[in-house]
Amino acid sequence: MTIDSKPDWIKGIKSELDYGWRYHGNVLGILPDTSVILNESDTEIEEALADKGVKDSSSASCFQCGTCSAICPYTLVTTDRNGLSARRMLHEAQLGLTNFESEETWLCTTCGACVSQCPRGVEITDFMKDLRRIIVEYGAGYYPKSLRTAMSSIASLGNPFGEPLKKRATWVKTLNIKPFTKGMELLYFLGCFPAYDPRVRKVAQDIIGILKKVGVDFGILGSQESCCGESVRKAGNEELFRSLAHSNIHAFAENGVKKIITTSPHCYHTFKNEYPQFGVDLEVTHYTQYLAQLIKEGRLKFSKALNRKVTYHDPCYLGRHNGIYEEPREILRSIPGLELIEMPDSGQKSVCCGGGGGRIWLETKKEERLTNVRLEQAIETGANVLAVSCPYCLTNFEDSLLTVDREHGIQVKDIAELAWEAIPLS
Amino acid sequence: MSRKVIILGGGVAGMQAAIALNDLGTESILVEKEPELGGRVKNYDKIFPFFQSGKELVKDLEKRVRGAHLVEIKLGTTVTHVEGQPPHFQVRLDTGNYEISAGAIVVATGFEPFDASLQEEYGYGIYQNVITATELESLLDPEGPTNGELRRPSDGKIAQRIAIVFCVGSRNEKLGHNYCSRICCSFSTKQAIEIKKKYPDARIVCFYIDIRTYGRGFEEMYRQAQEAGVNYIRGRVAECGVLPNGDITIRVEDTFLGKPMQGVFDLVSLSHGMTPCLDAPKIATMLGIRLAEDGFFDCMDKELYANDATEDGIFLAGAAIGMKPIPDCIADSNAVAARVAAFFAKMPKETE
Repeated sequence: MTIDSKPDWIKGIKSELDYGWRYHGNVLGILPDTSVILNESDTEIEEALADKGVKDSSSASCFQCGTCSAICPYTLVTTDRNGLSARRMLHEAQLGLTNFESEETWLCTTCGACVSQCPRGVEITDFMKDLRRIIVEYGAGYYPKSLRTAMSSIASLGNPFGEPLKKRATWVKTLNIKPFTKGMELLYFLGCFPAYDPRVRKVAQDIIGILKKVGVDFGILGSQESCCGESVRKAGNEELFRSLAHSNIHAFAENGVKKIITTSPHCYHTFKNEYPQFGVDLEVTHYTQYLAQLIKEGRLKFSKALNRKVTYHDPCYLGRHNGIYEEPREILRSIPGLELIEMPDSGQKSVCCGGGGGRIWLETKKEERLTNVRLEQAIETGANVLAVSCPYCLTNFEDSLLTVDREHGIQVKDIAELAWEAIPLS
Repeated sequence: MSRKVIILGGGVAGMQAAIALNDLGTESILVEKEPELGGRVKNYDKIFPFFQSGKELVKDLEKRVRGAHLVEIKLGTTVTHVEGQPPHFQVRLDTGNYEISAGAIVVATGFEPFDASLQEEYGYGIYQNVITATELESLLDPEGPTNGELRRPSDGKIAQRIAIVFCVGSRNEKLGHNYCSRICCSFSTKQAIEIKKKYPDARIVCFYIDIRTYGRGFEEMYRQAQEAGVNYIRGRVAECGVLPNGDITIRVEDTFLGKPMQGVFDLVSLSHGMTPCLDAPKIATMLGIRLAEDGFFDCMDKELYANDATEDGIFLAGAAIGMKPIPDCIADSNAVAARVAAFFAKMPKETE
């Protein structure tokens, strides 16, 4: 803040006596005044912060211990003191001094590592979401352009890729599966990625293959399916999130959907934990949970051996956010010949791929990509497959594979792809 | 009515309560579940802030309590049953098949160190060189397992780089301990000075959230530590890890510099906080008194009657009502003796 932006009453009384270094009563010099006014902060910002609960509820109990900023995965790629610091942002919010022009507001992936350890129980990911919401709703501050583009594409086309809605329907047609009709056991909610991204499409195709093989009575919603809105909400666009939620909930109700499986942990999280606020009660499972259940029931069996060393990367929204650590591993363990090796940071300590919180739609500097660090960890284990169970993780790891500059024989695969491989073609 | 007082707990608070009651001419029975007197303090070679011997302090108190002719000591004994209204309590012990008539009961049951393995991110119980402050205390004790040498558990190497992590298990909503354990900043600082005295070249870093050296002589001791070269970094350690050679890595943010940091240490000591003694709920039920939200015994009135339990005739001393340094425990016991005397004085004089 400069002196010009200070209120008149301070400018008015500015004199040598008021703002000088003094020594034995003599003024030695005038200080350049860069101090921040504490008792006259911007009321508009204060009100916005209070309105969204950022100042009063989500940041108030923070005691500045720095656990969040020490555990933040960004410390693995940068220790720039101007980088993301949840601790500093919480303190600024407590004082009503949030800097909305700062890029760091958009760096958080909402991976939840900080929340899992905060001794005061501050919901830091909610805090980040609320800050972004202020920026979006008040039109104030820095709002990254690529995120704006993704959001408007979701608003107008129902997907973040800027691709025509028709394309969603066309690819679904190629799958040769029934649309969901009343009375069916299960809805498979594909999500946006498989429709527009050829790499992730492979995962969805394999899940479908397995479901068909087992003889599960399932269908899809086709073009009635909209983006679940997870990243939309985390990116602060509450209004758009609500309209997407309503559109999906409408489609679920219209078709009599009771039980859903999803490709993405993000869709899973949203249906399971966020849609209930709109009064819907659905049975939601992630596909890894569903497959693990099928294995337990003896309906899904793997008879083809995969002689590979596999290490598994826990996605944030399956692990930390929803406590699902075992089911994906159960699938891997039941594949004959497959050896599961753990990375040192696994389970609750898993390192985010960098794709959550809307970051998947933003460019991340090459040297700040968390997947690069994680890929190194995976290579260190001696594994030849890094298994994932989230479209964001898959996409980010495939990107990193292209840039890693050391000898390795590692591949990135979704658990569904490994499972499909272990089922012999008949 | 009986004017005998039953004291639960033979630590410093219980012993001093018996001594003070004796001085006032009141009989008491000091009941201690362990086979010897002295509670936690008998294991401390040095106590803060004046580096006196805890063992000597206990010996001194024990000599005085044993010399007090109105005090009966029952070791290896617990109170199993209490009934009746004050001042007509009937108390049963597990060592005799008879009832004792008591006019008042003093609870001086102390504390239990927090189980550091519950704070999983620090790896206590998994990483050998992550130890608790209590274990550090015994390593620094010339009569301890290492004869006072700071040998780390994994390979017996003398630790040269030591991290002391404050507020372990305290001030933590996740673990249900929202309170500050009050003495950890000070005993940790005392330990840092002891290490520095023995190993002047050791690098010691204390990681803290706030420094609370509030008592008489505590702040001076903090300054002494800094002047001896102990580093204090304001940041709560987020997690510990282990290297193949047993060294411990820690992740923390120096919140003053706004800089995330990683450090490698030979030994990490967790300054665990304290919880109420494990029997507290059982004792509270037996006596019909309440525990407060923090799990320690509740008081009749937190300002005016901090040493009175929530029922008449039952009094509280020492760490049973929240963590405090030794002098405060002694002061509590003296206060309790006065409260007991006042309670008896208020009772109608009846023929006994």
